[in-house]
Amino acid sequence: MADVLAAQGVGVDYPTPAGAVTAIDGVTVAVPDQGITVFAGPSGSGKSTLLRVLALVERPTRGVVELSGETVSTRSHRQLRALRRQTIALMFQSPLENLLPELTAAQNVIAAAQSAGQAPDLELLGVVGLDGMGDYRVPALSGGQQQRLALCCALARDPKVVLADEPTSQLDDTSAGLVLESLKVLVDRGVPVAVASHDDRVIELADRVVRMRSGRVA
Amino acid sequence: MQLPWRTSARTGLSSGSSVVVATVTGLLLAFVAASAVLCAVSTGNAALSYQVGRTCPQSLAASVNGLAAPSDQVARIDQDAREVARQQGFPQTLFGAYTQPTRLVVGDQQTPYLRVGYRDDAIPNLHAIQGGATNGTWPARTPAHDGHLGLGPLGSEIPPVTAIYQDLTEPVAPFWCSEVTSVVANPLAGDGGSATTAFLPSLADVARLGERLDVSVRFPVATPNTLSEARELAARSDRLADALRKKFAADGLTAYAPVRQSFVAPLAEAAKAQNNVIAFVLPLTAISLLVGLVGVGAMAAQWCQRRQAVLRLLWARGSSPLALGAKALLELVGPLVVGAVVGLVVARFALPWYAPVAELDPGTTTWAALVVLGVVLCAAAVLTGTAALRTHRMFQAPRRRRIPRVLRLIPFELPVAVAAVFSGLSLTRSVPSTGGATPPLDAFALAFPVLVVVVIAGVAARLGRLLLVWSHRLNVWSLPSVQLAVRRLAAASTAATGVVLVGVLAVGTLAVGSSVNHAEQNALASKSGNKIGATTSVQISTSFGQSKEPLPAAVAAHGTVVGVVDRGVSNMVAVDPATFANGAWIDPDRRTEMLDLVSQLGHGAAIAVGGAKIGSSISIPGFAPLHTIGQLPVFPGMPYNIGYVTARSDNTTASEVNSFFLWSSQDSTTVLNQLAAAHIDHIRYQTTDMALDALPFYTVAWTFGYIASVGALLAVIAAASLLLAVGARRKQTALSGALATRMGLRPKTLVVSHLLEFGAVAASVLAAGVTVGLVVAAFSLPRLDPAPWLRPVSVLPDSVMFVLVAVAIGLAVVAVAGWIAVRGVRTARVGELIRG
Ligand SMILES: Nc1ncnc2c1ncn2[C@@H]1O[C@H](COP(=O)(O)OP(=O)(O)OP(=O)(O)O)[C@@H](O)[C@H]1O
Ligand SMILES: [Mg+2]
Repeated sequence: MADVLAAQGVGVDYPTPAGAVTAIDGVTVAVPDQGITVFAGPSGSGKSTLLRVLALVERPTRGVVELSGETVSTRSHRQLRALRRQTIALMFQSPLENLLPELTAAQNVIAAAQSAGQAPDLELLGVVGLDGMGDYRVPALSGGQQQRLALCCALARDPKVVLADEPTSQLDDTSAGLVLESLKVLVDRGVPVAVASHDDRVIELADRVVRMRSGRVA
Repeated sequence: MQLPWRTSARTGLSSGSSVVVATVTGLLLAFVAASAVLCAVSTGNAALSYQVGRTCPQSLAASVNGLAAPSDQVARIDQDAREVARQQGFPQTLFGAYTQPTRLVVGDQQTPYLRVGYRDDAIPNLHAIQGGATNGTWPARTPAHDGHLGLGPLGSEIPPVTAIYQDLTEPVAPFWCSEVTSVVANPLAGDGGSATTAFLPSLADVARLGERLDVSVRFPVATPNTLSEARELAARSDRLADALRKKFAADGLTAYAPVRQSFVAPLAEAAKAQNNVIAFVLPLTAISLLVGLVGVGAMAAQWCQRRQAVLRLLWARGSSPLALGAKALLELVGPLVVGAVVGLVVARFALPWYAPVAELDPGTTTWAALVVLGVVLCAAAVLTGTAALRTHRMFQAPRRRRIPRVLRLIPFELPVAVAAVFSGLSLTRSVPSTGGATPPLDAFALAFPVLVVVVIAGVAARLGRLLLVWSHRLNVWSLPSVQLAVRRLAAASTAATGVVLVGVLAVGTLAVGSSVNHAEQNALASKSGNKIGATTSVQISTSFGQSKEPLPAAVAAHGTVVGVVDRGVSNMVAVDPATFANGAWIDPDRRTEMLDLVSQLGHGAAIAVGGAKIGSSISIPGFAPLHTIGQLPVFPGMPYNIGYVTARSDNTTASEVNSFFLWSSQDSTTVLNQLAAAHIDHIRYQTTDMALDALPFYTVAWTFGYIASVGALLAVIAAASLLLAVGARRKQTALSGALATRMGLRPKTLVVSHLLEFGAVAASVLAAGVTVGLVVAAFSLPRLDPAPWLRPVSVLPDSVMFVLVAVAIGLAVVAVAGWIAVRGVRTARVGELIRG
């Protein structure tokens, strides 16, 4: 079992008017190429920051990120963009942030596939339980449906890994359950998933749990 | 194109306020760019039309004015000129030759002085009042009448008289305007100094009579309507002149046939007027375009903010900042282009309102459209660039500091202020001491008023920002409406200072532009009026001035007779109080005062003009002692000097008054025709239209007229951006307003606080803008005066109306803004707002 993503001694500092804030420090974790990895920890422990670094959305201040064993975090912005396009799907915390609100559900799937240079496959809507909702506009979908559509979009991009930031935190129990179902579908299709969450049901689902505290792996 | 980009155009339309902002920005940019081009072309052509109107149409091309050419050479000049003109493509040649004034001997009698001459096509352009056969001599009525000449033989040397024509009088028809000295007798010239011409049927007949002939060769051309047509004509005329000179030199005629090009100087003047306008309009155009482009940048920044979630999503999926910038372009460019097209169309069709009416060169609109296209491309680049840079900063380089604070503190007004100081210095320097020459307009000095307005607008905006920063310490909860207004302003300080900047710029340029524009027009009218004394002035015989002879009723109804003594420092103008108002030009601003004083004249009373000494027994050599009854700064007929106005009746016996003028409020043609009909001799007719070279006045008036219209446009932009900013914050305003009223704030206090908020912005804009505009206009006006040696000096026109209108519009904007803000509060339900 190889690691699709790995962080080696990663640290991130943010400049603030009051001086640099260290969001995470000395984090060494790996995301295996199958199953669900959960980064768990209390609020402010640096889960989201770690996820952004792993998604190559942000460069770490210290340490390196490896993608399939190669060090990528030091590459140029242009190369990072290409890697993001082809290999990584990142899901933000708020459902609406993962979708293009002016498009329909189907169009969102098509747009996601196109962004990664993949042929769009609208069958995927059925896989996440959104059968027959292709023509719905995004605002007409519930939060859970939006989050499942976001997962569907991630799937449509055929990434090497999906990173999801608290996919259930803004949902009620029922909707959260449906999203977890969809997460399992992803894993069943062989896509490794890394989730940042302190939701116990997500942690239950995990193949591996990394606990974080105050920006460090606990 | 990928999906989110493909649907961008439609997506862009879904945000109403962005569509409005983009459309208005496009309109502003296109209007400013297109109007600058159109205004420059139009002023150039208007200046040209003015010059052409003052030039004899026969003298537009090169011409030959030979004096005392030997009569045996005249025919060769004629032949050479015709040949060269044909070669150079001038279709028509008008050749004329005149003897000196002579007295012909007819039998045992001598005729009065007359010239004998020939001119191509002369006969069809004369009005025969007796006879009409074209094969004989045509004398004018006056010499024929005085010399008792009738139709019939004149002697052996000269063909018999076959017609007598109506005297040619000024203003003559265009055909004769180049020949005035030869065909119109000047009664001022002594015997033999000037005479009318008796026309003979052929040049050969004339050549036989005189030893030496004055020669006039003209090459009539179509009047140029545009500067480019005029330049083309000038080039053709140059070639004609060269060819003529060469030909005359080859034939040894140079001494008798000097070639002149009288249109060169007027054309250069017109071209200079255009250059002045361009040089002057350019800075403001650049500033306005800059404001527009900054607006485009702000639009892009606002778009990034509004679409941040989508941008982050696309960026996380691997889109480059440039691709995201392109998305901004795709979403906003549609309304921008629509606005630009509207702006171009508006600029074209509103042209008569902001520029002098003149013909446009063919292709001018295309040029304007190309310039607009260029500006739109710039705007597109700024839009894409700003959005790309913003996304780059937002996602790729978040840790780099934004613009260093130091850079933001550097006042951009400083270099402008330095430029303003230098421009002000050259403005003060450009005042000529005295003399009759128009000081050359210095475009850099002309820029002074606008530069000052720019500096003050910048300073006002900076002060406003500082005050708002400082206002965080302000604590006036005892006056909740004030505290609320200040807090809200401080929260929206960027928008507020932006509105102040553009607003002061707008109101200031509007004030300066319209003041100077009106002042120049007033100055031209009053200087011309005071110089001539009336719309038309002609010198007439003393018998009218001494009331020995009455004027014909038709003339008297619109005229008054005035005696003028020009004694340098102490001028005298003797008026007839009863008829003065019929004919004299009276400054509308001083009408009552002047007519009141004039009506008191008589019995030695006098009005002291231009600071002449006042007193009860002023003795002026040759006149009875005068006592002054009042003072006036200027008086018609006294454009240069100080002096006294008296009643004509006081001077009837004074032989000192030796020139009398008829001042008429009617145009010259009417007056001269009426005088001719009554057989009243007259000389030296003058009109206000021709009194001054108006071009320098027009140049300044046109430029400032354009400035004013750009100022008006900027004012609309400032008002619109205030309203849009209020509209954009409506939801927040509604939420906080609704909450505040729930918590016990009285609705009245809320309304007052909004009115105070917008009122403070409007008041500072109006106060700073109007003050700087009027002050700088008052300072510049005397120095921009193109004819400072003529009274009255240009001064700031009455600005009360302007201020009132500005305040009224300001109040209206404040009221509308307040209504927009408060309306949201009343209809808002707090619960909904909190959830939204
Ligand atoms: N852009 C930023 N600028 C400054 N500080 C930041 C920034 N982003 C995160 N931080 C800080 O880094 C720390 C970790 O934040 P992060 O969002 O990764 O935590 P989290 O575990 O995801 O918390 P939550 O469960 O609330 O989402 C926090 O203390 C936060 O204040
Ligand atoms: Mg988080």
